[in-house]
Amino acid sequence: MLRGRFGDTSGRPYIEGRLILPRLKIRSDISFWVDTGADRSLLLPSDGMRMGIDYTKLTGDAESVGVGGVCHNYVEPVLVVFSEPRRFLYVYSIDLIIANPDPEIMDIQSLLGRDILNQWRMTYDPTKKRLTFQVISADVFVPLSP
Amino acid sequence: MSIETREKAVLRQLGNPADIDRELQSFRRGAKVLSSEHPRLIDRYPKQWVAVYRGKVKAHGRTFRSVLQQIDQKGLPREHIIVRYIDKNQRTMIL
Repeated sequence: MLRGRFGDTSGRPYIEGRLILPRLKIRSDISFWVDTGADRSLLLPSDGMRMGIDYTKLTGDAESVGVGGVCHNYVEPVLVVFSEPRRFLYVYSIDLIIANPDPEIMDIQSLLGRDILNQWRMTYDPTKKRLTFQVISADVFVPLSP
Repeated sequence: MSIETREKAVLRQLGNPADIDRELQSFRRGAKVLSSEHPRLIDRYPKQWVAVYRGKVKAHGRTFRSVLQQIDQKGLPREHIIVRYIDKNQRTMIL
């Protein structure tokens, strides 16, 4: 079982994982905002810039629509890894949408969308500060030795 | 590509699983400071960007770039850091 958390001031649900961008040779931990409303996972500039992504090397054009309008984003094949301590790593191979840096979206956290969440069973109980995920499927399960 | 071939390709890119597990546990423990009521970061760093590493605020400032500069000047590993904007009156997000 994976465990998430709720932000103190925002109350938003988060889960920590690792993002690997093989083509760009970037590996970084990341705290995702759990968003069942997002069709796909999205890397926002505050994380992308922290990781040192060279946006000039990105390709692809994925159109996304939010309340604020239509955006054009990059697409990059990545691995997203979550750990169940001392038991399993769960690895997902996805095409991650990467938003272009823009001052208007700097304070938004990266989103974990339904491309991954649809493979989990979530228990969401902010009243008890309980946010857990039972993993139903993953692209690769990696057992961890005791 | 067969499932086995794909799995092998993923495992090659993954690195050492035990290291990842250990580092993610540390990262997750550190992130808890952003969920903590004692102390609350909003009380100390209102309307500031903060960089959290191993559960402690290692840099803070009014701009994202200034916090990144501090991280680099201190030689902290960006890949294990969370950078967040702390504000009591956060924008309402409807995503």
